[in-house]
Amino acid sequence: MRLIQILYCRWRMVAYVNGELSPAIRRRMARYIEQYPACYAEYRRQRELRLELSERLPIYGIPQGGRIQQLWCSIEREVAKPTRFRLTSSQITIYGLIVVSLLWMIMHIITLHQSNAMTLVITPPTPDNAVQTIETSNPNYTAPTMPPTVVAIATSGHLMIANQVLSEQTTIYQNPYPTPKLGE
Amino acid sequence: MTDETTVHGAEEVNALIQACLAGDQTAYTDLYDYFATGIYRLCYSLVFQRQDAEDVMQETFVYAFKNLHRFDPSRASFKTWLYTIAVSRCRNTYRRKRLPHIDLGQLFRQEIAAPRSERPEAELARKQMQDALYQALQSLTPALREAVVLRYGHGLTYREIADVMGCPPKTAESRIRLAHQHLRHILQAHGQGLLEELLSF
Repeated sequence: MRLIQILYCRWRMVAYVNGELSPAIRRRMARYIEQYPACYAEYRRQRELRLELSERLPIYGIPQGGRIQQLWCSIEREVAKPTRFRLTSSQITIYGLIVVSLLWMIMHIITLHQSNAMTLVITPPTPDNAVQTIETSNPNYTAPTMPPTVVAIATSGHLMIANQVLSEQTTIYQNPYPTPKLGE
Repeated sequence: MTDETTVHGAEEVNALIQACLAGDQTAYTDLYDYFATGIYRLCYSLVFQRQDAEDVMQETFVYAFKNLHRFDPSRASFKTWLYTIAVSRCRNTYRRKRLPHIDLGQLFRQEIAAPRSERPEAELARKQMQDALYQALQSLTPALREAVVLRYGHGLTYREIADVMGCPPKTAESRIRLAHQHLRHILQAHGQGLLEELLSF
């Protein structure tokens, strides 16, 4: 128990000699200092060191006479200069994010604009195409001119236009060579 | 410094800051005169070189005066704010120069002249003790040195030290305790050596 008190005393002694403890802890420390010679010895050591440092450190680095005034001239000049626009790291982050999002929006708009046009997409082979392949392998067979497959990938308005175009094509276009069924 | 003088000082400083913000040029000079010596001593105690200390002090005041509108008296005193800027600049300096060169003996002889009435033996002993103290300070880590210099060189409280160093008050307390421990060992060793030297005559 006594050892714990001495250790506590050592731990808080510097704060005690510097007057940085609460009144309750100060009273407790004073009691320990009075009771235990080890605490008293610690108190004396720390107090001496505090006095020594308090006496010697404030006189360290006192500037030479007139030097402070000489420095003021250059400080005054620097302060009078207009401030250069300099971004902080947080500002750089915010502005960077804004620029990136703007670029993304521009890219997105351009992509949407391009997708408004009808896109030709090569469709995977269908059974009709497969038949056509068989027919073309025949040297006596003359292939009819087939219209390209039109696939519209667009928003609803354009899809309607695409459907309309397709329906017009189906109505106008009459295939002179209907594809024969396999086995006919 | 008593509480009363501190309050008066704080009021005076706040009035000067208001005058500066209102565009009064002489208020800047007064504010500089009020803090310049303290800031110089702080910088010098941390970077150990006159030229570096002057540069850091200059940077500190230029930054503080250009950003005076950012100072918020409700958060900390102007002294704490200014010391925070100075300590931050000092850290930049000793980060650039990992091993600062220092001639403590020369510095001490130049800056703290011995009293004329002092006997040669006493003068020698005093110089040796001072050299030992500054060598001990130099041997401290930057964090411990900052804490000790702010406490004993400038009389800041633990809370103010914590604000300046950007750490909790408990950390400030433990840094000062560790610095005490370190300094005591070095100074004791030196004191014993000195005693043996004196006894050998």
